[in-house]
Formats: sequence, structure tokens, C-alpha cells
Amino acid sequence: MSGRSMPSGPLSRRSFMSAIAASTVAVGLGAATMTAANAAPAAASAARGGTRLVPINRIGIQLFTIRDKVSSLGFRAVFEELANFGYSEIEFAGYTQGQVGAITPAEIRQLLDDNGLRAVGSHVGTNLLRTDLANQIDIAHTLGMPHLGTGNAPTNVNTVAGYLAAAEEWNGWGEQVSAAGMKLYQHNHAGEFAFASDDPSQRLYDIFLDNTDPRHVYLELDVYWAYVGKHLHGGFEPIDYVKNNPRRFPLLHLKDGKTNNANTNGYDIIEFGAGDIPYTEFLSHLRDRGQRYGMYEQDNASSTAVPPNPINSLENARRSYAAIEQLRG
Amino acid sequence: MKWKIPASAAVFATAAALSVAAAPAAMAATTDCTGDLARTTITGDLSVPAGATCTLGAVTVEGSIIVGDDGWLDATDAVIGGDVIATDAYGIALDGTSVGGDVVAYSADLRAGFAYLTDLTVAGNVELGGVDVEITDVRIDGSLSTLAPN
Repeated sequence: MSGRSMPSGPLSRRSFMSAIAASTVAVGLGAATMTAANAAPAAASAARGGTRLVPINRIGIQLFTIRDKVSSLGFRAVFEELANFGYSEIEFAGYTQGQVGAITPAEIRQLLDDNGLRAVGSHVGTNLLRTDLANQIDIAHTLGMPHLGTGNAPTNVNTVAGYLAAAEEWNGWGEQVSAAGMKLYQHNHAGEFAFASDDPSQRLYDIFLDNTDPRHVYLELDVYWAYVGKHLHGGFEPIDYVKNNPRRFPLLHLKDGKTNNANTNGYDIIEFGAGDIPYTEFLSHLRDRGQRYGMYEQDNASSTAVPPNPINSLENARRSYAAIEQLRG
Repeated sequence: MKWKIPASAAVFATAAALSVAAAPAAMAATTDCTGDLARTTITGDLSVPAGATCTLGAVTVEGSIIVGDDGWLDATDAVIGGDVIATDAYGIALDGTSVGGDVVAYSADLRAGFAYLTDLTVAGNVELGGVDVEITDVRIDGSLSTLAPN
């Protein structure tokens, strides 16, 4: 559908029409003409299945999802399965494989290459960004990843001053990661969408976004946790962050959630495709899909399966890949 | 006919988006686009500089469009007399109306990038390589060639 019905970007068809409509009456007539003329082709595109919302070679998985399998089966067996499912991109959550035995980053890279997979990023602790950044960059280079990040909050000091200090520190890390040819990124949970403890008018995420250097600090939006953040703290739409800052969000966590009013978060985490977070609508807003990686993540995959499926995180990954691959807008 | 524009329609362009490089009087100038341009005619070539985002709405470019490294061209209802050429770009999206020459988008070694062509007529060739490609409702009078995304 080419994003025609749900455009976004710096000046989308919709916002362009709005601007034009506000400028002159004559131009408003032109916009009306365009809307009518485009209705038929848009419908025809939809009938053919529409646009693939996540490019097929940008579908990845955060290995935290299947950490039980990495630990019990090792990287080799896990990569073989993931490649068979169709995944292209791997995001790491550590470089060890539990009881299977020691392995080096170079050996992991070989296993990636053997299975036609690519490392896209990694979650390392902010303590390692602070104390071990050069080594983490070396590992990332060995694995061939274009991004290096963390799943930690920017800081645990939830004041305005705390987040400003964090932004300054992150800018320094980002400069080093950029100099190494990669992008530093932060992955959110719900807490970042809370307001500063000392200023209820300032959302922590906004402080971080506004005070980090867009050349050096990027973000991976965990869509599920953003929706939880909206449920808990309100006043924003998760998609707006990506629409307004498309170049700053090279990565998305495609984590599904199912509404549960008994859960204080508002949603239960569930495998992709079994929830009701509006992913088709969300992703249809994005006009630069080919620049963004969609990473399946399910925190509880090792202990949860949609009935009647048995508990098996790899099977969750297989079904979730199929659901992501089928997304059309 | 979409975007039917009365001759008296006002030009709507953001000043920051439009700058014209100095050029000999006998040559058409090259216009840099680093923002939003709408309802205007560019008499020469249009350049999207490295790292810039250029959004065109109902714009006529009499010459060609060149998109630099990490440049993003997002054109809706544009009439382009010459070629559209993008190398190692962030991406290009052409959603209507016509390109008089070729559309060429290559990414040599970047992992990401895109070329989305929709509701378009292209008088020349379409050559796309190394980027995510979608082609919908497009008439190509010349040839179409693609290479797999990187």
C-alpha cells in the first residue's frame, strides 16, 4: 500500500495536505482531488496483499528471548534453528553459552557466517559501557554488528539532573562508538516514560532524547514497553517518537502484548501475533522501513506458550517469525 | 488528474529548504534540498546533500535529482524531467508521478537502505541494488534490473 493511507516521515502526504489546506483555498481543492484519485489504487494494492511492513532480511531476534536454549544447546544449534525459521539478524544478550562450554567472539562470528546470519546489535550493561567500552567495541567489531547498545535504563537516578548527567555521559560513549563505525543505542522499558521524580512536567525519555546527540546516541524502541509506559504514564503515542525522529530509531523490539486489566502493566507479554498491540497500524506509519530492523523479543518465552503449544522458546520464535513475516500494511 | 494545481496557486516552500548554488549564468543552477519543498518548480538539478532529508510534494524538477550519502529523498507527486540517482543513500521513495530519465539507487556496502517506487511512470531504466525494493503500480518504459539487498 506504500504507506499511502498512513503516511509519516518529515512531510507526509497527510501533513502536506494539511499544510496546503491551511494555506489557500485553491490548494485545498487540489488536495481533495488527489484524495479521490488515489482511493482506487490504494484499494488495489491492499487487495494484492499490501506492503511488507518488516523487510524480510531485517527480521531478527534478541537472544534473551531464547536464553534457555542458548544455555542448554549452545550458539551453534540455536543459530541453525533460527536460520531455518528464516531469521536474518541476531541481537546478543551476552556472549556465553552456559553449560555448553566456553566460546570466543570469533567462534560465534564463524557460527553466524556458517548459518547466513548477521549480528545486528547487542545488549551489554551500562557498567560495561562505562568501564569496558573499548573491549566491547572490539567484540562488536569481531561479530560484525553495526550497533552496540544496552537494555538498561539511561540511569537509575530518575531526576532531571540525573537524566541530564546521563545524557552527557552517553554522549561521550556515543562519540567513541561512532568513531568505531557503529551506533550506540538504548533500549527502553516502561520506566523511562515516567516523569522526573522532581518535576512532574518532564518525561524522563524526553529528557534523554532531547539532550543526547543525534549523531551519536540512538534508540531501540521496545514497542511493548512503550505501550506499557503509555498505560502507566499516559500522554503520548509510542509511534510519535519514531515518526518524529526516524533516523534515531534504527531498531525496534517487536514484542507483543495482550490486554489484561488485572496486570498493572495493562498487558501480558505474549508471542508475536497472539497479542493486540496494533503492530500493523504502528508499522504502517513508517516510510523508511528499509532502514529499520525488527527484532522479535519475548521476555517470558522460556516459560510461556500459547495453548495448545508446549513450552518451547524456540517454537515461540518460529511462530513469531512467521507472524512478523506476514505483516502487511 | 491528481494534484491538479491552478496556475495561480501559491508556491509553498520553506525558506530553509531551498538554496541555490552559484553557477554560470548560462547553466541552470543546482538546488540543494535539505527540508520540505512543495508546489514549486526547480529549473535545474536538485541535490540532496549527504545526510540530508528532502521531502517533495507536488514539485517539478526539470533536471535530475542526485541523492548523496545517507540522504533521504521522499517525493510525493513529483514530476522529474531527468534522472534520480542515489548512491549509498538512506533511501528514496517516489510516490507518483513521473521520471523522465532513469531511476538508479545503489548501496555498495551499507546494511540498510531502500528504494520504494509507487504509482509512477519511468521513461528510462530502473536499476536498484543493495537496498530494500518495493515497486507498485509502476510503468517502466526501459529496463528493470535489481540486485539483492546487502
